[in-house]
Order: sequence, then C-alpha cells, then structure tokens
Amino acid sequence: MYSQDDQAISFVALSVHELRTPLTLLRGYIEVFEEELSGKVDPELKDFMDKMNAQAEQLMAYVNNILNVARIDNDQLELRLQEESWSTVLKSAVVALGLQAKVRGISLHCQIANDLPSVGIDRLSINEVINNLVDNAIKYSGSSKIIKIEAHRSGDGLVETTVQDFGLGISTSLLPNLFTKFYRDHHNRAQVGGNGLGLYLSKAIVSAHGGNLWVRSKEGEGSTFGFTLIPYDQLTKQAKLDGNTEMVRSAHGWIKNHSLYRR
Amino acid sequence: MDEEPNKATVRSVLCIEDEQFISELYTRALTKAGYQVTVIADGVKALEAAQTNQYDIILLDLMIPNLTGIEILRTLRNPARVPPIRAKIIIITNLEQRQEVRAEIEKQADGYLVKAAMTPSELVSLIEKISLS
Repeated sequence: MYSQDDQAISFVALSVHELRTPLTLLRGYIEVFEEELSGKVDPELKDFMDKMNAQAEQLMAYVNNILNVARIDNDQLELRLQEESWSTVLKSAVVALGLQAKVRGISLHCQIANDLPSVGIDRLSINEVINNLVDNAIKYSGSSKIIKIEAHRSGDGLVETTVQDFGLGISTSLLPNLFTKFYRDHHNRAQVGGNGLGLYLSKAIVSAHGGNLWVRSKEGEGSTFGFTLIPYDQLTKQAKLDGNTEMVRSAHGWIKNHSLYRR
Repeated sequence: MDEEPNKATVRSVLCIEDEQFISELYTRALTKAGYQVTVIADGVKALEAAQTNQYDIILLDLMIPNLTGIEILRTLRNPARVPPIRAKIIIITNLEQRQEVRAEIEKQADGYLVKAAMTPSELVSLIEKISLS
C-alpha cells in the first residue's frame, strides 16, 4: 500500500464536506415531503419517496466510507472504544437499515442471544460495518426476500455476529480478493450496485477492534459474513482503552453524557 | 441577568448557520416542535446575540463568516465569564475534525452533530434529549 501525503486526506476531507451539504438538504426535503404527503399520494409515489430516502441514506453511507478509507490509508482512523451492549447497538443498526430492505421487499430477521457480555467498541465505526454487511446482503439477495442477522457467544468467548443472505452467493475463485479495495464481483456487476470499498473498510475496522471478519459462501445459495468482537472485560485486561466514557455516541454524532443519561 | 427560566415560556434556539437553505429547514422543524428560533449567519453578530440574550439552545456551525465556530465556543465557554452562559451549546457541522480540535470541542460543547447524518426531525429529537437534562 502506498502512503499518501496530507494533500490526499485534505482533498478527501474537503470533498466529503462539499458532498455532505447537498446531501443534508436532500434528506431534509425528502423528510418534509414524507411528512406532508404520506397519507395523500398514490402508493406508487409513496414507494418512490421511500426509495428516494433510501438512496439518500446510501449516498451518505458511501461518503462516510470514502472518508474512512482515506483515514485508514493514512493511518488516521481513530477508534474510541467504549463499553456497549451489543444487543442494543445491533438492534438499532438493523432498525436503521429497515428502509433499505423494505424498498426491495426484503425482511431482516434479527436473532440475538440473551447472554451476551458487553463489548468494547467504537460505535460509529462498528455501525459502518453492520451497514456494509447488511447492504451487501441486500444487494446480493437476488430474488431472495430474507436476510438473517444473528449474534451469539462463540466457542472462545467472543461475541460473534453473522449476516446471512440466501441469494447469489460468491464463487470460490473470487473469495480471496473479496476484502481488497475496489473489488467487485464482475459477473454480477450488472445486477449489483456498490463502490467496492465496503468490505475493505469493514475488515479494517473489525481488525482494529481486535476481531476477525470472515465469509462463507456458495454460488447460487447465498453468503454468510461473520465477525467477532472482544468482550469488554477481556479488552480492559488486554489493552489500554481511551478513558473517555463521557460521551453518548450515536450515528448522528455525540451528546455529552449528562447525569440523566448515564448508561 | 441569568434568571431561572419560567417553565411556561417557549424554549428558544439561536441557530448560528450561514447556509440559508439548511437554517430554513431547521427553523421549520424547530418551530413546528414549539421552539422560538433566531437565525444569525454572521459570526460576530451571533456572538454578540449569544452574550446579550438568553437562549436555551445554541446551534453552532463551525464554518461561518467573520468568526469561526471554535472561536465563538471558546468565548462563550470562557471560565472567566461570570455568570456562565446557561444555554446548551450544540455544534452542528459537516466537517470532520482533527484530533486536537475535537478534544477541545468535547470539553466545551454539550453535543456535536453531523448535519448530513440527521434529518430535521432527528435534530429536534436530539435537542429535546439535551434540553431535558
């Protein structure tokens, strides 16, 4: 991998900022139209509005991907690990993806074990991983209408999460290159959208968390992507964590943890 | 000067933002939710307003004309200021910050929201959360 200079990250940061302004507005106007027109238009038009919304969300996710890939390439990806309930984080991420799935007629089935320990994660980054994996599952679903998302304790005490689709699958010959940058399955390119950064980014983020991202797939039957996360107790023993527990972080940013909202 | 707010009064927001279309969307959503909104696009004027008038919430964009959001934040949160500004100060931005700047913001602001990551209603909900505490 080449190391880039400050110019590269500034260019990306500036571009991301420029892209985010019209995106902010588009998302805002879409919300206004949904609020005002929801009950009053044809189902077909309502469906188009949902799709518009889903596309705007996707655009935002891609812009974030570009920014984070630039950070990774420049060793500037900063993770701030905090103790989180994996059940809470995973559930809200899946709910946020509901629209993407709904506009394609796909249901997301979420099953989370109830004995999961808390994990040490950077919530924003891990949300990107979940987004990317579910986004891929949606894209590669073909005519399948179900995606299964599951979390359980693995044999070695880690928290393992899997995202399984029952669609196109990936041929064995393509698997080795799956996590490289810009890689896209050229057989399915016509059917499938995307920017080739999602898996590269997800792998980098999971690895930075001390976990592992893997894939199991069969062409024509679907794929399962899985990743492991380290329980918070284990992490505190293993590594020195950023001591900042004062922020409540979410997909939107952070809110200072005033006493009413201490977790 | 800094009296306890009368619970029956409408909550006030000072929106310091120079992108007119964005402040228009936010004003619409906040007004619908019952807030009284003042928008000021110029940094110097905004700082003056923040120091002169009482607001419950200050939404502060980082990139505005004549004075940066950081400078405004520093001035409003200057520990030497007595009495302290009672408003909750929430940074709203589409910029990504470097570590040094982020650390300073985290010490002084009550929230940091990425504009593109939220719709106007989501902004209102987040503001409700912050203003309750």
